Amino acid sequence: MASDRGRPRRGGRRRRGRSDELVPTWEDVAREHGSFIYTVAYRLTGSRDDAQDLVQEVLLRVRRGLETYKPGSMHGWLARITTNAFLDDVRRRKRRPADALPEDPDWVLPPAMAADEALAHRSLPDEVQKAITDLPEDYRVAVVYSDVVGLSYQEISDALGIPIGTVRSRIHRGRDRLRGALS
Amino acid sequence: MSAIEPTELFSAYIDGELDPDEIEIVEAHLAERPELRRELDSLLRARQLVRDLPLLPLPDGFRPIPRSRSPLSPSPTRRRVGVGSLVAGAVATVVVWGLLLGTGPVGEAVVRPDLASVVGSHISVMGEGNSSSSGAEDMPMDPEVITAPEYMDGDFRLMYAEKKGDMAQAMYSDGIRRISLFEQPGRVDWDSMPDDGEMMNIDGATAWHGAIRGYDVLLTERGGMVYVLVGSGNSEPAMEEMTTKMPGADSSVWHRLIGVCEQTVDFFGLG
Repeated sequence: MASDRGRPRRGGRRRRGRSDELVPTWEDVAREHGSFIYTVAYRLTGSRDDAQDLVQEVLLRVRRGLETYKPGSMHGWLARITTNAFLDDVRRRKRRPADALPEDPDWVLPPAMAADEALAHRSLPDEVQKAITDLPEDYRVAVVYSDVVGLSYQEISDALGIPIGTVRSRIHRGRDRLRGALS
Repeated sequence: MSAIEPTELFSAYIDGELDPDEIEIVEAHLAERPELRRELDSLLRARQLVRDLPLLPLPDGFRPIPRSRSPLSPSPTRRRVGVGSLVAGAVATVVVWGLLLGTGPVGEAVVRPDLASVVGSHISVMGEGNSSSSGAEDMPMDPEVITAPEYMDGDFRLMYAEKKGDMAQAMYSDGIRRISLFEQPGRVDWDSMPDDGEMMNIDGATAWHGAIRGYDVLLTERGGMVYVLVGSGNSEPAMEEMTTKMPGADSSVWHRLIGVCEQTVDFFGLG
């Protein structure tokens, strides 16, 4: 995970925030955290093209939001922006069904076997990613927040504006489905 | 807690997100039904599989600016980004329309363009400053959000598109740089253009090029329409190419704008 602290860059506008920390410029964020944003975006979308589009959208929002950024958890802030942009896109696609993500009729669960054995044999990242992508958006976001970004339940609750009990439920149900999909 | 199945707490349990009472409930349940240990273990493994997913590098060739999968969307789509930050821009835009060309019969109004206000609108749409336009509070504000191609010249993504009457503005950004396109019916009073700019005649069309508030501005007219382009940087050698690709009069407003500006990225040195 990259450092949350940026380095000065020519032409960038930098200012000092709380605790005298320097707020990174847009270019700092793109350079130092682009990989993190892309990873979160890919985990949410399951598509390289969609993830790249999402990164662009996130960086546009980051640029507009840097003036109000308060030094702290850069990754938490970026994950929040990424997730909001993702959910905005999901809502937009639902309003315009023609743009909806295509279903993948070829994706079927493998023959049943013992869960532990199955997980031991089927742990390729692509399959895990596929299982994540197949989760309902609410569960997917909660799982990504928890297990990709590493936020606490309270932080997820704050980010999504939902009760912590709902966070628990979404994470558990998401993981339970992952377990089923990977077994 | 009595309404919740203890197994529903398993994920929070392995995440260390339960309070002591809840931990006690889960562990008591596990003691009663040891077979649930297997379920707990498989949840733990599922979690670990996700946590073990690697940090992904940005794809080769990916630039942290908008890119398009096709040069232009085949069918224009409505897109607005950051509505809240654009409200001020919408106000300024309405004002600019009034100031830019004034009133008169469509295509016949001879006006003295207020380029400072145009640039002010360009700036304020992105929420980067206050428009220099005056009288915003007095102007009726009923801009229409309109459709526009999502991309210009591949890398520049639509950020804002509104129309007031016959006048339209679109702003595109690659995430770092922005360019605004304005179109309005009318004719320009060329004698009123600022002296510090450069008058030119390109491909039979009169044009003015200069810097306003540090932004690069090109104004031209053709076919009864006035076009103003605002951006940053400069690349004069590309100007002639741009202006020789003026659009046909029969195309839609947005395709005319895009046609005018298709080479603007080069013109403004943004490529």
